[in-house]
Amino acid sequence: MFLGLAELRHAPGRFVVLGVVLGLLVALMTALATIADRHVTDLTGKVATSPADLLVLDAAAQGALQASRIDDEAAAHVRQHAAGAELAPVGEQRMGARVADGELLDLSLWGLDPDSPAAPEVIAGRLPRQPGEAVLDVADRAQGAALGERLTLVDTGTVLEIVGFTAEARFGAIPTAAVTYDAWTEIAAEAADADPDEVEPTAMAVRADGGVEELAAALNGSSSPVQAAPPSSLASQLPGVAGVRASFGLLLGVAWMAVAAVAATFAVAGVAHRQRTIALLRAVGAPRRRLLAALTVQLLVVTAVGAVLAALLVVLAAWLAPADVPLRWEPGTWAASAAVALAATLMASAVAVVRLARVAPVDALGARR
Amino acid sequence: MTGARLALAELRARPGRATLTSVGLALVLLLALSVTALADGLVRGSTGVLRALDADVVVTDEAANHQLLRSRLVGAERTALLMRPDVATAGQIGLVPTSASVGGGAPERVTAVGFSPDAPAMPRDTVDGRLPRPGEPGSAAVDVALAGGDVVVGDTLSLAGEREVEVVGLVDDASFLQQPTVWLGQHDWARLRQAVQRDADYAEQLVGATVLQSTEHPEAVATAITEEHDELAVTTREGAVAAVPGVSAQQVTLGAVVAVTLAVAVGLAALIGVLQVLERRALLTALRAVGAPARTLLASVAVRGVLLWVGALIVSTAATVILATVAPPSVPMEVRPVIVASVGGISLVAATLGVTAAAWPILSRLDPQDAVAEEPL
Amino acid sequence: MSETGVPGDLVIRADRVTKVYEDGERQVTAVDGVDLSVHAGELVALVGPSGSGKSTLLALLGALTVPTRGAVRLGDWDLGTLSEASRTRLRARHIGFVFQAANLVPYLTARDNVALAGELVGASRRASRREAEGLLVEMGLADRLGHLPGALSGGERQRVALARALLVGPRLLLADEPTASLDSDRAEQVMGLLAGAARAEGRAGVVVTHDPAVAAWADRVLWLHDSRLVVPDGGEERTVGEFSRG
Repeated sequence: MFLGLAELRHAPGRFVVLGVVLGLLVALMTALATIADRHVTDLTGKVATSPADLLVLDAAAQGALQASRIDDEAAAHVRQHAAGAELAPVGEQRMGARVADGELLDLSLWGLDPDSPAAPEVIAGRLPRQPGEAVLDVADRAQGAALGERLTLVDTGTVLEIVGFTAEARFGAIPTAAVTYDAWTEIAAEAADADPDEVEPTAMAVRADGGVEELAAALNGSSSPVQAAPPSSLASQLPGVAGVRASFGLLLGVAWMAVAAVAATFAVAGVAHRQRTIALLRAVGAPRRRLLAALTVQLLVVTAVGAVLAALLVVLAAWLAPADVPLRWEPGTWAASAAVALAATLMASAVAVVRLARVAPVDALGARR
Repeated sequence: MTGARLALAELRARPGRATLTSVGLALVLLLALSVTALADGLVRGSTGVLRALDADVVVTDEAANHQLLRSRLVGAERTALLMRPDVATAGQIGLVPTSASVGGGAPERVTAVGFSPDAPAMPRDTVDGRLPRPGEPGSAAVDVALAGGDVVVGDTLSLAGEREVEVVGLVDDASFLQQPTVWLGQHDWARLRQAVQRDADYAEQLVGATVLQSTEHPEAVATAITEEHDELAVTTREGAVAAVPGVSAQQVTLGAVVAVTLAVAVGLAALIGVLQVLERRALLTALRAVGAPARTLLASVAVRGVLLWVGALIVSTAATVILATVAPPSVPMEVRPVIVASVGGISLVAATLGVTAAAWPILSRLDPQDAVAEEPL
Repeated sequence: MSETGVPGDLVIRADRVTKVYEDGERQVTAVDGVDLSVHAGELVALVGPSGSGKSTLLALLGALTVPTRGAVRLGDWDLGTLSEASRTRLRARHIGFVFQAANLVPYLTARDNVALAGELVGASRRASRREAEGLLVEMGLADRLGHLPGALSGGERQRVALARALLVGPRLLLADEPTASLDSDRAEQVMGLLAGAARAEGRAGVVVTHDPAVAAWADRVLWLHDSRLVVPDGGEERTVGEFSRG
């Protein structure tokens, strides 16, 4: 350990460069993992945080809520197979909206009855209980939303009062608001110039009184007009989620390999550059494991410094990032990225063993082996 | 040129030494290329519909705020806009999310695009067959991405499990929100919409956005229409592309990731520059002693770095293409030559600067006298 | 010879030692059937032209490499039969080296370079540094303890290397051209210290050199030519004057 640290103190320049490179890579990994998580949460939050045991969609919608309508036949199918379970209709519709007199927002408006399996959890205020009341996702406080503030739906001119906030409840990467199901039906009908009686629920929420899996299996039987799944499972099937996970997973894998390769390049080049010193140390009786330990200590110290640098970079980037960039400082994600980078570094020092083994103590003499 | 010759001679003599360095470089470049290709693929996969059209201005209702899916304009606005002198032609499009299955296969999510038979509302090109003609119900042109690319002209398509249409043509690069599109005449589209959104008003017309070809600069036309029509949200095609949900956030986010990756590349280049000099210190000192100027040695280090970079770029490009091929279909990576050229070009310039900036301080301090010193340290 | 002029215990012995190495597709014999014995209190000089096998023989005696044929014994150990790890431990505990170049770790101070030898045999860092300081003071380097090798003169560096070689009290002291890059005054100073150390405390020393002035410090001079000892160990030895005439 002493040998490794002594060299770090003696020639800090190249270690600083390596630390910066590793720091940037760890920052990149942290950012990628955070962005992937936030993307998925922003795409699915409203579904994933549903307290229902099961959500039921039109089978033809292929898991896409926007393409789902529960018609009479589908509703009858659900009632028949979920006898005894508590059912509630769920509505979802995209609209333009303004908080107070703010900018025009894209909004996903949900119809969810309080005291039903579909009722969302509020973290402030209360659930809407009558027409003209709405809860909004807390992320949209940045838009000026506050309890008692107005939310205007531009498509219909409907003015709602914000009576509560939900958390982690974005959907399709846009803000969400929820009103009672009846209020939603009125608004959806008005937006479509239709009769409220013609408006069909987008989905149904189910609270099972027994086995959830058995109930899902019963609802999903062959040639079923519906698809039933727990909210978390449905969330992962929503459009874009698989793509985000696979894409960012792939990028994280490449970044991890890059960390390992950069550290290995440095370790191997370091052995080559210090060949004579290593040969001298071997000649005077330093075992290989001691030299390897020195190299590993150096890499670990540099990676740890890089990880701290990465934390600073991510905090800074999260602070400077525009509101629509889902980058936040999440210590857990940073710690995981740093741990993964340290593992890659350890692997890299293992690569240096090969090069280290080639340095013979006799090289210190310049004599032939 | 002496520097270049030195670099080439060393690479020829000791190719193994460069291997690991090249792997590190190639992985960082692979990361930069993958992120860029992914960002490109995500944006293109979300905006193909708009890019496929021969329109330069997109009009939605004010509440829809440039969102095609939410816009509820009908033919009246198109007719009114056609009267303007700064509008050459106008068409109407409507989008509805649904599902489609080819030849009884598994259904997949698609966006059905209804279009009026006007130039700005029609895809510019078909890669096979043709577009559905007016008064030809039951026909569709489909995105080649449908059914994993296995769809051909003549196939039967079941939409939402309710309506069957025959494929009469194929269009390319026309997806919307990462979903393939199915292009329908207005009659088929209106009926499909009624089938999947039973609460929607039924009309034999397209409900959606109006698209224009302007006679003047599109931005000026968009501004002029916006000023005259409070009830409309008007933007250029590029503006509409940026307004597609997620596109601007993805561009900013992944753009930042690409920038950080390029910064990593520069840092790595600097590290390689430092290591190259340190590893060859004795040799470089000897060369200084026999009269090689420091700038020649710098050139040799820079040329070696650039050669490694070019090699790594070739390897990483091949790896990115392989990655894009073997990645699951949900990963929308597109490796286009322009991406390789831009990432390669920018990173090469950055890398050259990184190598030389890092190597020069050490090279310039090499003392030729050390070549005959008592003991090399 | 020891101070009494009576040979002490046998420290190291080479029996018909041969070292063959591969040079591409060619086999080259670097040391060919050398017999050699060095006793406690004795300093032996190995001399010969470049490529004669001096350094390879020193490497064989120092357990830096193993013979292709024959045996090298240090005390009771047959060096050729030891594992690499055992030879590493043996070098750390029983053999001190002074090399011609790259003799010190460039990023350790003079004190830490010397103390390293103690740490390699398991002594605490603190104790090793204390002992190192004592030795360096004895070598006239009291004011150079905290200096890095780059800040020392050639003679100082060799004295630091000698201190490192002696710290753990090795049985065998090996030196490879220890004065090659020093002027005559400094060479004299270093050789005085080295010869004194080699003959002390039942230790034996072997020094490889081109320099007749260095060889003159030795009790015996063995001449290698074409990988063989020209006058076999135990035979009639050449004088320094004869050696210098070739």
